[in-house]
Amino acid sequence: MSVSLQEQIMYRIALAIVLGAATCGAARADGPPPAPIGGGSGLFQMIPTWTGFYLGGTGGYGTGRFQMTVPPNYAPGVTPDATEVWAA
Amino acid sequence: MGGIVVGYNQQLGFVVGGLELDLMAGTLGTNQVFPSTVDTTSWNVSTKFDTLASIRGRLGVAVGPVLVYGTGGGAWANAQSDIALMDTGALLARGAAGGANHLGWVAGGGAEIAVSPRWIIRGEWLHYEFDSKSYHYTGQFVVTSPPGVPPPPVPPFAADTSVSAPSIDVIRGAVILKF
Repeated sequence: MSVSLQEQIMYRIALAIVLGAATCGAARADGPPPAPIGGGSGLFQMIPTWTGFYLGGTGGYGTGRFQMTVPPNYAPGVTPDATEVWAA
Repeated sequence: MGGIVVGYNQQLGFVVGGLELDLMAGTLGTNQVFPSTVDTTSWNVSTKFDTLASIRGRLGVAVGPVLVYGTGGGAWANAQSDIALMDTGALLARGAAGGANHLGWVAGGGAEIAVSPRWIIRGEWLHYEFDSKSYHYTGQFVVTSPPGVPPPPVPPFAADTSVSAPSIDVIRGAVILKF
């Protein structure tokens, strides 16, 4: 019995569908069970509790403001110079 | 600035409280110039806050994987300061003050998001207020001598300044591992 080219293509497509479905079914059967509600490690999943110790690294940007002044025993205009200290 | 944070949280319903310690290192500094009014000299003072630490309580509200909180407590900072006596651009003397310890308080707030049961990402802002401190500088004058002439003894140099009520604001992020 001869099979036309068109029929060969149809048989191969059908075979691919059957094998593909079987493969997917096997993979799902061997896969991990679904994570329970409230557990798992997926992004943005709720954690069971915030209670506990923690340790982390931190980094950021800071700005400071402070006024530096000279006390009364240093009056501007009487800045000591080497000669004065030298004489002392 | 960078550092570490360590702490403990206790959750009661949607309320989360805790205690946290942190230590940060970096450079927050400024340069100030005090010109003389009678001559061409000036005092150039450089002050840098290089270490910040705090112990704070935290209280927040947890909604699912998000925690929004406020925080406050005591703080400590260490600052280093140098002084240079200049005369029209020439260095006449140089001195340094040892590390000065400033104590104060810190308050702020932030938010955390748990990206997994163990890993947390945080963003927060902290405002520090510290006490005033007097700085005493000691150093030496810069002495030069003509070629062939023995250098004269180096005279000491001393100076005093004060830092009035420094405040620091820090915006930072953190990656935290929960145990």
